[in-house]
Amino acid sequence: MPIGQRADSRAEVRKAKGTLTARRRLAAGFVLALLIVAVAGWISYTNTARLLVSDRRVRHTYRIREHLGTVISLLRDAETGVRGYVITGHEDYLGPYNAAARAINRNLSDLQRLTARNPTQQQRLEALQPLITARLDALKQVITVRREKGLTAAAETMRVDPGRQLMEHIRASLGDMKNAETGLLLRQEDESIANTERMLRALVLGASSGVAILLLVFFFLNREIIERGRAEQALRASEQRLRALVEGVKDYAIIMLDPQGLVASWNPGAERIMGYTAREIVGRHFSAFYPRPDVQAGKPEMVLRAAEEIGRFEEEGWRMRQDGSRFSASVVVSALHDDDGRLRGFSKVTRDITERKQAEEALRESESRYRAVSELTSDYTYAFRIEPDRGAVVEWVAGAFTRITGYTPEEAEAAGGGITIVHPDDLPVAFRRIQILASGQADTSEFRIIAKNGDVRWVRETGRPVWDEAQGKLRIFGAAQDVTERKQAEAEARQHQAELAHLLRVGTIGEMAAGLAHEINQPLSAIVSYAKGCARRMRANGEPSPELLDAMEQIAAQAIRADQIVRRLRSFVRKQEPKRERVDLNDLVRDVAHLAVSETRQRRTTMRLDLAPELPPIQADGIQIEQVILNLIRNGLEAMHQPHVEDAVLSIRTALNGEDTVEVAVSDSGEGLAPEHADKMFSPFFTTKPHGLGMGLSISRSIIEAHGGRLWATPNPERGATFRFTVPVSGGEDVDAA
Amino acid sequence: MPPDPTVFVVDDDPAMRDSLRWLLQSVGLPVQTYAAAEEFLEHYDATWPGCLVLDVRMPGMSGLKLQDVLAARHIQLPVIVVTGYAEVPTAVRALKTGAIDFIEKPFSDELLLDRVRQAIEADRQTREAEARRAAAMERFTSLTPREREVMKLVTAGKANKVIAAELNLSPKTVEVHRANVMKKMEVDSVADLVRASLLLQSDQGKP
Repeated sequence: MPIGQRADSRAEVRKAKGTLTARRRLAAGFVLALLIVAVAGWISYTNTARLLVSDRRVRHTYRIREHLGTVISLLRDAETGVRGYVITGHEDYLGPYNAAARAINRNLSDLQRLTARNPTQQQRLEALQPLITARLDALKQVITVRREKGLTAAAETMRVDPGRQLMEHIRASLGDMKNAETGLLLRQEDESIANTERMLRALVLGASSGVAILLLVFFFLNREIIERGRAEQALRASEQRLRALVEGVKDYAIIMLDPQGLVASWNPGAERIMGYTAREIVGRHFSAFYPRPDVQAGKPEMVLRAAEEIGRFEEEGWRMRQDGSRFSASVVVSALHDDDGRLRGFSKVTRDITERKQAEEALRESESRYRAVSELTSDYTYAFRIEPDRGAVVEWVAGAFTRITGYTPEEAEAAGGGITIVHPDDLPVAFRRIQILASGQADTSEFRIIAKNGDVRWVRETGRPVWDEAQGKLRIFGAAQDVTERKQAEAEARQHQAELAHLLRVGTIGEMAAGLAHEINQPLSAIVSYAKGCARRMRANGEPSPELLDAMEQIAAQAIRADQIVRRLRSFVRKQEPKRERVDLNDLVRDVAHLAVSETRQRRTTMRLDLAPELPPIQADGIQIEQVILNLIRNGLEAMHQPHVEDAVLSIRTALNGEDTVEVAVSDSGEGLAPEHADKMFSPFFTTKPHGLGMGLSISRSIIEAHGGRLWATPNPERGATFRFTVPVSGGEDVDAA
Repeated sequence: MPPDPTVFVVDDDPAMRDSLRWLLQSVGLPVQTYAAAEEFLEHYDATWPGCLVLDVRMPGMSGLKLQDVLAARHIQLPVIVVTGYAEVPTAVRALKTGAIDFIEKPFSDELLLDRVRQAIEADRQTREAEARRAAAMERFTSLTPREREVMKLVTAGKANKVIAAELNLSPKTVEVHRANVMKKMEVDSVADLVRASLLLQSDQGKP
């Protein structure tokens, strides 16, 4: 998640930069457009102003030309009036003349005013004025002539009239003036057209470029708006996703703090971990999560300062829930800044790592315990990994490897690894072990190694493969023990067992002889009795045949002889006198149980010893009693040696019976006793086993009886049977004397 | 009329049973055989005299166990234990439990027959003593309480006067009681009376 966040913020920065340049571009566009419009406006304004000036001038010029025209026409009006007066003599015709004379002067003064700024025209006007005055004076003279001298004089005056030439002058002068004004007008018009054209150009250019720029700005703005919309939408979506994520996170408390450390937001994970609901905590200072001593030490402020300075503060420590309970927390506080680098607040992600801490603690503890135990129980430990191309590569060897093997780990490695010191006879065991380990299963094997000095030593190696996920390799941890002494002890025990078995065989032969003797004794006795009975009857019936009588006596004598042969055989096998010594029954049971351990293990049977704390000693032949106990144990094991017997348990108890006998009880969980066998099972040659001799229980019973005890069997309430024997304690009845 | 003394043979081996019967009958002794101790106990009547020839090793109830049962039932039939090879502890136990004899098989016919005869004789004597004791007991029960007191003091050797003083009776009355006791107990002398009272005293634990 942190990576995603970073990527997001980068994208935002990029976007922000893009927005910045776009905004500048837009502003520049606007300014440009404004400038263009302003320039165009200015140009238009100045041109319009100039146009107005030239228009006023044109109008001025037109008025001058009008006035000039008016002067001409007034003069003609005056001339026409005068002529009318001359012809008619009517004073009426002098009206226009008088009006014209007045108007002309007014016109001329107007012209003077209008052309005040045109020196050329002023000069022409000044030159014109005396001509006009002269003309009017000339006409006045005509009028005077007519009035005083009549028509003819007047006509004459008129005919010779110098005024005509004057008139021509005036006309020409006025024409000049008019022409000058017309020229002025044309110039003005040209100027005006040029102005208008300039203005038009400026307008068109300004307007079009302004429009273009505005279009551009609009385009950019539009794009910006769309982009911003899109960005906002994306932002909203991402915010929604983020919020959903934050809301959905239950294992992390994700909260926001304002710059002062007051809680600004709260997620369900925070509620789950801390216990507060959003309503309860938002607005409160986050030091509420710290244990009091931490708060007093000013830790919350320190955390904020550290986060502000470094940007991110990470720690593991104790935090407090609403109910005051503590938990081990992993906390990351990050400072949040806005674009201008101002501190906006903090994000705080808290995780409850109590379980992890506990697991770590447990792991540490179990590791150290394991190390301690393996140091105690192992002579050396090692680890190697299996690599596809190199095979087993030893990583480390610790402990007394060198003391036991005589090789240093380096020597062993150089020689080709531990396998090279394995005893040749045990190589199959070692190879099989490696196969098992390589298949990922743990293995414990015992095998011999040949030490550097040639000694053969037994080691017991326990290997445990661990798949190293990170490296994709199988690593095997091993612990080895030097079990040479135990193996020797086991060999001695086996020897002892063999001797006991030998004794048992010898005893068996003796018991066989005894049983045989007993069985043969019965018919021999019957023969003797029959024969003697016959002899007696012969005699009693008087005069018996001496041969028959003799034969009868011989039958009896031979039967007695046969019995004596059997009797000698029996006493020969049983010639050893039973020993009697003080022994502890518990010791005997322990010894035998020890001998039987491997047998019980082979048969997957659990053997339990339940020995009375203290037993008085007995007077007995220890070996014989051991023989009985072993017999009973074997019997029990065989009774349970059936495929359907599960949870095979053989328990051996010793107890004090009253004051004068001790008891041994061997219980099995086998098939129990068949009622039809109950009577016979202690008889010699009785057996239910395919290859049994049927002597075991018989021998056992005779041994126990010879010790003054009893041996019997009872069925167990649940399953199986219990065989018990009792032996009198020593110091009670003296068995030897009996 | 009690039957003739009989030899009871208990042996699980049929040949042994039959050969013993053959041998014992050759000298005219009545024989009853049983294959097991239980069988014997089932059929035997305590009034039947004789002796028991018992094999000590048998399946089921052993010879020794049978001896215990007989003792518990106050059956005083003499027991001769027979065994294949005498083991000392077994023999000791057999004798302790009340066997009068212990014989190893195979045995000489003389030895067995001697022992059987002795056992029958012993049984006969036991039964006679018992019969006498029973008769004396019967007579004794016919005495009045006062006569019993007088008898007790007489057998203690006390003179009539002493008895009279002790029982606060007149010597005459004591004389009468004494004559009655002698008559009822069917004795002629004080010595016989003392013998009878001893016979009665041997009655211990018996009803």
